[in-house]
Amino acid sequence: MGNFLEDQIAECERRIKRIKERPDPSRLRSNLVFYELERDHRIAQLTNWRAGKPFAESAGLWTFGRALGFEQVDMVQTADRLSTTHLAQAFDRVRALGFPDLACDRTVTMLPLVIDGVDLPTPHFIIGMLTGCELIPLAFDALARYLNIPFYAIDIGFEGRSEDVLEYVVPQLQEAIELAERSVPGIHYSEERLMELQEIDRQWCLCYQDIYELRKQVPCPVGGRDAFREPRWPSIYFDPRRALDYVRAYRDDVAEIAAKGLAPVQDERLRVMWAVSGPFYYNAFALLERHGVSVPIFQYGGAARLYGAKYGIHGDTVEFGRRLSPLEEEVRMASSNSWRMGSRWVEDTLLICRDLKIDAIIWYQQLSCTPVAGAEKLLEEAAAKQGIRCLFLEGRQADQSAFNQEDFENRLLHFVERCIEEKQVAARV
Amino acid sequence: MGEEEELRSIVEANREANRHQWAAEAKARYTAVIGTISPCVPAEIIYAAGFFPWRVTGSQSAVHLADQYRPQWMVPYNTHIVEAQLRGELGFLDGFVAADLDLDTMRGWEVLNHLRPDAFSRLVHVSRQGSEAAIKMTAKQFHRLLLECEQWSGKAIRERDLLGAIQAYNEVRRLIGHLYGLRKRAHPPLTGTEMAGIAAAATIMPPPVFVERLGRLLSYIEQRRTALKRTAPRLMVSGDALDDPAFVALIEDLGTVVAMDDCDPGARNFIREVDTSSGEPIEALARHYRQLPGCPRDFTWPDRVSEILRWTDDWAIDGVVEYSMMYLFSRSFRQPYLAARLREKGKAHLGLTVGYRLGGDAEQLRTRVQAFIEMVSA
Repeated sequence: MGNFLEDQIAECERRIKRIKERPDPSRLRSNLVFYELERDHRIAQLTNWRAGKPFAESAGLWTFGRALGFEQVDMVQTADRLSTTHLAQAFDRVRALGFPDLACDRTVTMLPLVIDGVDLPTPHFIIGMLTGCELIPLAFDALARYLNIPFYAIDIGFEGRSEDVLEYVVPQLQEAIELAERSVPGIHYSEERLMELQEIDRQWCLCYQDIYELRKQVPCPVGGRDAFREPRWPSIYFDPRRALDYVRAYRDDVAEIAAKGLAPVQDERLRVMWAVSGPFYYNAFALLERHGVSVPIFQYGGAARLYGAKYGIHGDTVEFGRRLSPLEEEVRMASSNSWRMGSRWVEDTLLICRDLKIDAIIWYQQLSCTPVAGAEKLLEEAAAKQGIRCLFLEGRQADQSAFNQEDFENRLLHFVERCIEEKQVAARV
Repeated sequence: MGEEEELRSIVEANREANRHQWAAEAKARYTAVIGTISPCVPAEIIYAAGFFPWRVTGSQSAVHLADQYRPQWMVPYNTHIVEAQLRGELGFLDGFVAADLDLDTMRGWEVLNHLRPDAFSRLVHVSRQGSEAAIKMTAKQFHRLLLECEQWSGKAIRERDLLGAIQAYNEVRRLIGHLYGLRKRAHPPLTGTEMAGIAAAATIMPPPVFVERLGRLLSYIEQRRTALKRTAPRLMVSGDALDDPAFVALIEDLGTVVAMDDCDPGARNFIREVDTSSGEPIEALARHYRQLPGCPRDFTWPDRVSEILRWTDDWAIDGVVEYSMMYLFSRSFRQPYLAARLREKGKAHLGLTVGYRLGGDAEQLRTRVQAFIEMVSA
C-alpha cells in the first residue's frame, strides 16, 4: 500500500482501463470522465505537494480557498475513500493521538492522514466553517493546534439568509484573507479569480439543477447509487473547469436516459429519498432497485440550495433583493444549510419530497453525525401528515465492523414492502 | 438554622429534592420562570424583563421517554433535559431560552419547543469566534432577545432595568469570586464538592436571595475548616454541565482536594464580572458571554486554555481531571490540545469520559483517579 494519493491514482487507472476495455452500456458514460478527473487531480496533488506548493484545507469554502491561491487538501472526502485496511489503521492512530474515535468517521479518520505526513499534504492554512456540520471545523481546529497551522474559523449562525448574516460573515472572510496573506508566502487573494471560479460554480450548480428537474420524472432516470454520490465542488479540483465538464457529461447522460426511457427502475413501485448518510461499504440501492424501489435523491445539508429546490445561487437577485458582491456570494452559498436548524431540515426535506413525488424517507443516521440527530421525530411527525413514512437506521458510514448485512437488508425490505402495500391501498381508496 | 446547616442548605440547593422549591417561590415573585439551557444564555436580560431565569438540570432518572426523540449517542445532559420535560418535571416553567452551544443543544431545545408550543421559547446565537464582528453579532442577538422578552411580558425593559440586573448578577459573581479566592489557601474553607454545590445554587436562586443568604455566611466560611482527609495534591476539575456533585466528591473522597474548577456550573459562570464600564450594557453582556473562560465550544482555544493554565498557577494546581461528557465533541476534540499545554507547563492531566450522572462506572473512575492522585503525589 502506497500513500493514499498513489493508491487512488492506481485505483482510478484500474477503473479507467476496465471501462475502456469492457464498456458496460448499463453504466454512465460520464463515469470515465469522472475517473480521469479524479486520477489527474490526485496526480496534480502529488506533484504540487512534492513541488512545495501552498495547500489549504477549506472544506465548504473551496472556491474561496482557491481564490486565495491555494491548492486544496480535500481531507474530508478523502477520508470517505479509505480502504478497509487504511481505515482501521486510521482509527488506531486516532485513538493513539487522543482524538474521539466515536466521532463521525470522516471527521476523525482524516486527521492522521495529515498528521502523519504520509497520505496527504500538510495544509499551510485551514479555514473551518460552522454552517451545517460542526465536527469538521472542530477537527480542523484540533489539527491546526496540533501542527501549529494558521487557522480561521468562520461563524455563520443558524438563522440563514439575511443581510445580518452577510454583514457578519463578510468581515470574517476579509480577516481570513489578511491572515492567509500574512501567514503564507506567495498567497494573495484575487477577486477576479474568485469571480471566475464562482462562474464555474454557477454553471456547475445549474447542471445539478437540470438533473434535479430530470429526477422529477417517473420513472426516475437517476440511479440510487449515483444519487448517493456527494457532489464534489469544482474548486476542490486542480482544474475546476474539468469538474464542470464532468457534471455536464453526467447531466447529458441522465438526460439521454430520460429521453430514451431507460430508467434504472422501469416499473417503480416506490420512490424513496435517502437522507443524511449511508454505509459506503454496502450498496443498498441495488437491493432496493431489485425490488422496484427507486432512489431519486440523496438529501443532505447542501442539497436544497445546490439543486435549486429552494435557495438561490450565484447571481440570484431574489433571495436578498439585490445583486451580491463576490464575497457576499460566498456567504450566500455557505448559509441556509438545511442542517443548521432542525425545523429548516424538516421543511426543506419535505419540500424536496413533494417536488420529486417521494413516497418514503430512509434516514441513515451516521453515528455522531450531529447536524440533524435529534430531529428524527420532528421529521417523522411532519412527514406523516403528508403521508410519507420514515425509516431510521443507525450505523457508521465508513467503518463496517458492526454492520450486519442480513439485519440491514431485512429492515430495508420490510419497510419498503410495507410502504408499497400502504401505497397500493391508498390508490384503491 | 445554624451557620453550618445554612451553608449545607445552599450547597444542596440544586439537589433533586430541593431545586424546584426556588422556582416555585419565584413563581409568586416574578412574572415568569424561564428555564435556561447553556451557560451562554444572558440571564441578566431575562431577569431585567421581570422573569426569573432558572438553569435547567436534567432528570436524575434513567432515560426512557427521551429515547423516542434522541439517539442514545447524543450529549446526555440535553437528553436528560428532554427526559425531564417528558416526565413532567419541568411543567412549571413558562419557557426555555437556550444558546446554540452546539448542534446537540439546539436539537434539544427544538424538541422542547415542539413539546411546549405554548411556552416562551427562544434560541440565541452566541458566536464562537473571537472578532469584534462576533461581539457585535452576539449583541444583536441579545438585543433581539430583549425585545422578545419585552413583547412577551408586555413591559418595556429600560436601560436601568438591565444595568440593575447586571449589577444583581455581578454581586453573585463577586461573592462567589471571593469564595474562589479563599480556595487558594493551602487548606481551603470549602471543599470542591461544596463549591460545586454553591455554584449550582447560584444558577437557580434569585440573585438577591442568594447574595443575602450566602453573604451572611461569609465570616463563618472564612474561618471554617473542612473535613478533607488531605489537601494535597491540589487538583482542578474541568467539565461541562457537571450537575452531579458526586463527580467532584469521588475525587475528594480519595484523599485530595479539588481546589479549583473549570466547570459549568462553576468558575466558568462566576469568576468574571460583566464589565459595563466601557459601553452599552447589551454589548457588555455580549462581550462577557462570548468569552466564557475555559469554554471548549469556543474557537479561540489558545485563549480559553491559557485561562485554564493561569488558574492552575493562581490556585497552585498540581493536576487537572478533565471530565469529558460523552458525545460532547467540542471537548473531546480539544482534549489532546489541553493535555499538551498542561504537560508543557508541568501539570498532570487525566481525561475521563463520563455520562450525565455518576453511575455504574463509578468504580472504574475511582480506580483511574486514585492512580492519577498517586502519580501526581509522587
